[in-house]
Amino acid sequence: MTQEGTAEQAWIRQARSGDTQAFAALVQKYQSAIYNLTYRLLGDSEEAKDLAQEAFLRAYRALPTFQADKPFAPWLYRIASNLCLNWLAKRRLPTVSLDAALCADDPAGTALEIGDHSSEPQTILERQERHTALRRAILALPPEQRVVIELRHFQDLSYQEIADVLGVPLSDVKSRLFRGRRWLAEALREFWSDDHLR
Amino acid sequence: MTTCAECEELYNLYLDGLLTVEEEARLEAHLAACPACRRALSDLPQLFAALDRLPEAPVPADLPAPSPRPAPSTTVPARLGTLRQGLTGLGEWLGRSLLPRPVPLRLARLAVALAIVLALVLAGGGLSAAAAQSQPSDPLYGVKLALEQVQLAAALSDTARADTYFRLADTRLQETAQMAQAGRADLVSGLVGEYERDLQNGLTLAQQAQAQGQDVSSLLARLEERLRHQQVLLEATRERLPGPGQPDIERAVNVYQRGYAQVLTLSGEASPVTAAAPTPSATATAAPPTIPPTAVVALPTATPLPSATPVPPTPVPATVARPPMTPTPSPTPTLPPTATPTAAGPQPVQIAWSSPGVSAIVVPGASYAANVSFSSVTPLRNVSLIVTSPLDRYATVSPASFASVAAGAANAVQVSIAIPAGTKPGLVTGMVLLQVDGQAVAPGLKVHMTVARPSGASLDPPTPAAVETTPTAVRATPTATPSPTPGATATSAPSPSPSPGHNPGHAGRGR
Repeated sequence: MTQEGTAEQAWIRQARSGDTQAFAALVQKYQSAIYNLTYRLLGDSEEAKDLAQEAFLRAYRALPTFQADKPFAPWLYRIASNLCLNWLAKRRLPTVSLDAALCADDPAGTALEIGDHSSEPQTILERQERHTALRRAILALPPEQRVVIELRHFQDLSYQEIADVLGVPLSDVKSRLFRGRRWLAEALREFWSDDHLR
Repeated sequence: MTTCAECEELYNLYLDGLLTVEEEARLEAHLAACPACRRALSDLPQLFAALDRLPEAPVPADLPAPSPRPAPSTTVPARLGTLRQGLTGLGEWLGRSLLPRPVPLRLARLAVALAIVLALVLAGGGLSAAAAQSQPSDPLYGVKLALEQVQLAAALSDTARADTYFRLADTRLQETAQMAQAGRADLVSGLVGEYERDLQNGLTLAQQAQAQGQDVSSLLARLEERLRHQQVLLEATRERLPGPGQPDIERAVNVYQRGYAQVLTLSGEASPVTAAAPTPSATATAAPPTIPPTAVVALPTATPLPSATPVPPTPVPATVARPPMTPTPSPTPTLPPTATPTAAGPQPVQIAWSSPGVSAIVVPGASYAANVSFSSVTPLRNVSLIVTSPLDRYATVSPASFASVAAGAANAVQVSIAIPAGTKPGLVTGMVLLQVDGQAVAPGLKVHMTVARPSGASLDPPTPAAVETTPTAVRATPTATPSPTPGATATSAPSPSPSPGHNPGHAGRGR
């Protein structure tokens, strides 16, 4: 057990006995991951914030059912993912609805590209375009494929963990994941060819 | 023999680092023989790399420093070396690198073997659901309060936290009403204090968020909606609560009124008091003498505290002449009248209302009026006053036009509200807007009106005793006697109430 894991288990234990400060520590640790999960799945930062908050609330309420010897993160992702999937099912809006912040105020998506430090303006711009295109493409996936891509590529869950999180057979996880990847790769083909030129 | 479908699966598993040596051999054999698969799958490594490089979206700006992506929980297995070689080999074999950059393979945590058996009951059920319904007098109430703290902790931004506080304020007021009805006057005082604290905390956060340039308009709109419901609830509670609890309810009314005034200030619909024209007509009064004198209240007013009034009809004039929070100059250009002129043209139009808004509870069949005034920094001509929809169905403004307006002069305007009998209870909001040459000028005078249930139609009819001893003016229909008749217990009513209006944000602290 890592030190981090031990601290987390202690927080979970304390939170289960009603210590809200301990739960706040868990929130602090996972808020970025959960917010990004909901944001990538929903494409709208306001909705993402609301659902991230709701996910933490539900996690707190469900803590008594959480098995303390299991990893906490997949369990939390499960709650957040299911919330988003239910939300998307209810929303029934076009799934490509990138955040207004991205589309309107910030067409190049610069607000989202804080991780890039390359100083070449041209390179930055191209990279930002690619990132924006990728985000859009992810949002264009059917939700059941989108969530699998999210859990596999961004939350590092194994196939089996994804199957457990979503409550679907392993074979479904694979087919959704592979189909999603194939579709994304095709949707982004033009950007790959740019890559090849360089 | 490996089919193309199998090849796709194998290649995906390969990129995920999940193939055995034998499977790798099968994959290679198929790819060597199948140009279609080579083409179809050639983009996948780039996709992996692109997904890996996709930066995290910044979490809301007002969060504490966000932690990065959760670190992969396992170290990259030794097998990666073999895999890497395999991939490079495959890439070379395909004529170019499959993985253009250092391979950022996200190998899954190897906790595959951990079966996650989750008996999750996400919604409803269990202790927490029961706690959520609990009342201050219940044993589970502590759990409810703890859950609320979690809601606050889980709020991801100042605005979300503010929203949570406003919801909690709502809850406290509902509990106040329930405890009042249950005769638990001993609990009411503390709850009102909590109500004030939560409302104030939320408002402070909203103000902070606004000062940081965040858009708080939807937050404030939701709060306004809540406040309107709170107004109705307070009215009902005031009628119900026995004498000793009255000062607490008056205090709650005061908190509500101040909260509402702050919302108006924050949303820019109230000109800061200092900027308002100091006119004698600033105090709203009911115009026709036959109607309850304070049935319509303009906020803020300079009227002293209502605490000494024996049986004040509601809503009482609020002591909100100066909102407890210093109004922050808003970054929104249309807000403070002194900041930005709102009408284009050679002479910018700057007006101020004597009150930021009018708040009223009216009973179907009744009509009320409020007197306010506006003034302009510059002389104006061809001024008309309009009432926005849907308020225009119930409210009129008189006079409706001014041929000319002198600079700095107070121009009295009466806003009359008439609710036809049979109108359904509900909330109506709108604005009285000044138009100069057909151009609307900000700020407008905000009007929010609650159509109350007619007397005797309330959800929980007060007991006959309560009817006799509590003020009825608010719910008076036009045929009812507006002047309150002190009943047997009325002697308790005039007792001076605390003046929380002068002690903003500190009454009732501490759970």
